[in-house]
Amino acid sequence: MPRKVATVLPVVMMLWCLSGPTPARASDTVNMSVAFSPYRLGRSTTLKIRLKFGVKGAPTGIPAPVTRFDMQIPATLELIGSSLGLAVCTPAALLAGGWPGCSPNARLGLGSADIDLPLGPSPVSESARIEAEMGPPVGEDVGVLLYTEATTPVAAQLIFPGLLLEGGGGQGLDAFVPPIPAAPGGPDVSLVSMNLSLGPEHLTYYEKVGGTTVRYHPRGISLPAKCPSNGFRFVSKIAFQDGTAVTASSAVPCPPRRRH
Amino acid sequence: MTARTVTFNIESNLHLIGRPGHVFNERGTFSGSQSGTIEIRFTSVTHTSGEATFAAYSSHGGSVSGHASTKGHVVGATVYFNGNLTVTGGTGQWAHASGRNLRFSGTVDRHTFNAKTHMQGSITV
Repeated sequence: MPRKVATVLPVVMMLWCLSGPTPARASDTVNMSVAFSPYRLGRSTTLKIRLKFGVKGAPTGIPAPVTRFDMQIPATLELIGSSLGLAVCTPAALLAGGWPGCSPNARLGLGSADIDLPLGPSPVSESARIEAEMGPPVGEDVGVLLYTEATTPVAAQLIFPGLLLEGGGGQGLDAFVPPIPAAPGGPDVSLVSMNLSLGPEHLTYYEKVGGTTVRYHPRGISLPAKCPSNGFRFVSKIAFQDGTAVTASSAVPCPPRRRH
Repeated sequence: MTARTVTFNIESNLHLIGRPGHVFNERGTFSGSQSGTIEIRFTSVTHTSGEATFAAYSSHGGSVSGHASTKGHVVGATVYFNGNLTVTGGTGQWAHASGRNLRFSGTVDRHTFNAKTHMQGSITV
């Protein structure tokens, strides 16, 4: 019978995590790619983030558990000009009803994660659905709740409260990730990949217009009218359970200039 | 004519002109120590920085203009912003208006992008 977990983890957001049946090595690798969809300067967009974890020199190796994820986002990508997250979802509402327990107008994005569960001689793979929800603010920082839900072979529902932090020359998404045992007392699960879209793509919001409920797509994160000289650069620092850290970066190049 | 100091304490209700994004052009009315219509252009307002320029047209003639440095933060459907405002000039009876370090604060509704602002301080005219 599947084990079911429902908990709020006392941490900061975004990523959830991983670990494997093998001891942590200093050769864990992270590949990150970021894209905009659609990609038109001066318009709103959906931010698509893809992370792939691995072990250097071992294509089938399982990466060590991640303990922290810190992603720097270009300061020119601003939530203020968007209509994402018009409602606020609380961890209690998520725990009680899952993502349907929150207003659809609190959704910031969605995605999926592939994890390996060390449940036997060879790891068992599992996919989890991810929902990013606007959470209660913490001071002047934007609170973000990452809700993950897996069903088989291990049913698990986890919430990672997190923060969209501002400071210095940009903004960042910072998450401390606790170990997630695949079974009581057992080794932790490993994240092997994650896709997350933050923006209006696949999101539907609702509003009342003259007593009628109307569906609409929210406005996404705004791209500036001018592209930075080296494109939009994203840098993630990912810390692993063995104390090592890997920095991964990805730049979205400037779009080709249009000919008139 | 001798320069004098007057209170500049106005509340504005504005609506978005055009599309939202890194620039918000807002237009509306203001009331308080003066009244009339107002236009504010917000540029690249983030948690750490941002700018706004404004022109307030008095219902008694003339206008006051200036700029503000501001920053904002998001709480659900609302952006809260605050900063410092500088009055740099005007027209008509406000042609020589000046003032520094006036308070500038307000909110933007992230659904409609309508804005409410408060400008408070003293200016020399």
